[in-house]
Amino acid sequence: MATTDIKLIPLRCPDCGKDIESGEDDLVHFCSNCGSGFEVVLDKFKKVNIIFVKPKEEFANKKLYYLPMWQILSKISINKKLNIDISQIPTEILANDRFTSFLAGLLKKEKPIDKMMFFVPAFGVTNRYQLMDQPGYLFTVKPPKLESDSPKDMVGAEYSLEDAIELAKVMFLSIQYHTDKGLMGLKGADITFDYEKARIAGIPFYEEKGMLVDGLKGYKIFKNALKDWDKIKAKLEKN
Amino acid sequence: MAKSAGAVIAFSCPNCGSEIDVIEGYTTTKCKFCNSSLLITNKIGAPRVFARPKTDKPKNILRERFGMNIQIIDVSLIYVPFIKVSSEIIGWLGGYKKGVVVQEPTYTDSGMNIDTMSTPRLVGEKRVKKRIRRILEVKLDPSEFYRYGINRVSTEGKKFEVYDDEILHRFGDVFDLPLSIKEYMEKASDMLIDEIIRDYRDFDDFEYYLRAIKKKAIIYFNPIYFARIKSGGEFYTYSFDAVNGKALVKDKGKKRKEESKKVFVGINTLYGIIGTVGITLSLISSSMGRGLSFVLALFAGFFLWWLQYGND
Repeated sequence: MATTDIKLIPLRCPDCGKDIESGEDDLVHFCSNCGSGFEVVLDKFKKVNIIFVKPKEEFANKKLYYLPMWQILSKISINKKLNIDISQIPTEILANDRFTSFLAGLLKKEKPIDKMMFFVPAFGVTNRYQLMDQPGYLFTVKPPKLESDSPKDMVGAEYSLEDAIELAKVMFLSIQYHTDKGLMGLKGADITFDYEKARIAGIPFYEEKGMLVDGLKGYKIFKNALKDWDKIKAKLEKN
Repeated sequence: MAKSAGAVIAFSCPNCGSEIDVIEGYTTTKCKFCNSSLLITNKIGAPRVFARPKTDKPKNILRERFGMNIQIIDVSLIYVPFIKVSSEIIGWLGGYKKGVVVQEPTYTDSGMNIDTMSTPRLVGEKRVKKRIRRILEVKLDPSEFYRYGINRVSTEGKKFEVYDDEILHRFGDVFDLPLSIKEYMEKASDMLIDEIIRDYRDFDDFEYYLRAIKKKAIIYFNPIYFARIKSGGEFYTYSFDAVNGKALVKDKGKKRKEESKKVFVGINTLYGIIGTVGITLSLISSSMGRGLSFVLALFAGFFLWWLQYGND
């Protein structure tokens, strides 16, 4: 009997039936017509919650391009009490009261368990991405206020939810990477991440001198840190 | 283990039936003829593909390569799987390696001055702190036919088709995967992470947090011809890729040669023994009855088998 465990199927929105044009490496697809998003897990479609974020008023008249970011709410438990000096944590993290109190609270508790929201870029990136301040990291440290907007055309996501959860863990554990005084020993801390819920946030960006600037906080990404930016731009402008 | 050039996988468009060539690892594609956007799905977590053999006359190829006078003992086609796993390794690493304090004799115009040593200096001290975000690829050989040169099989320039059990078995035997695809993915992730940290094994203090994400695997079934030949009095095992004819391994079977000599040189002796045993049995059976002669025949059979294969 012939076995066919791999097949081609037309890429159409499961909600409204409109054809979707996606990138070759995309794992999450978005419908520009009805704004729904879905992941393909093996051969099944799985709906993804999605929010298109309204830009700040001062950026609203710019030519905006929407890039997807996973927004993940996770419960973090540190299973072994650690003796960590909070003053070792870098300034960009300390500048944010919410994050500092979260971390400090988490580390001081007898049974440290708390919830945290992570922003993880879901768009394809190049190696250039790691050389700069990452908007995902900065959004996590200083979360923006998200207001819902009407559906937009958005580039597909190359990172699945499963991958994004791993990226969030790396982001959290990278706090020790950022310390100046060596390693903080979070690795040996036996940290559990229990993912609670997630959605994709379509974040507006505009172009400015070789950079892409987000329309919420003004954080910047090099255009060439995005995989195939010119192709993405051409596709978004065509629609 | 950087990313290799992609193989091409042939599909039929579900809308217009045209042939579409998709580069390995892609999740979507577009039909050039009807312009429909298409999604590549699979049920087992990794697509299985196969290539058709380009030749069905392997003996001709063997004679072209080794001459007309070779003796081809046997030749068979086996579909051997290999799995390409690519992944993005993310995380960070940091470590410290102690240096060694070095002090050397000083030199003057008249030569080495062993009484005065140079100022001590630290050599080989290293400190590393890196963010990692790297796409890597590894090829696994589930058959573990390393000695047949399976690691030399490449996908480059080949056209693969969607796996079809029936078609594969028409050409030859198929080596099934001993483990699940999940287990191979885990094995590949460990190998890729190990590739990054292996440079820091001699560090005194080393910590890392590395994870494999965006894992993609493709299972290729490539037809390989395995042949046993005798050429110039020597015995060889020879394997070659049935798609592009590339030689994989020509292994001079030393042990096999000695064993074979024993069998082939002694074949006349063996026939002599068979004849003698046959005559003896017929004489015994006439005088001792069928039961005993049957048991003796079994012993004789076992003895002959032992002569042939007992030392393998």
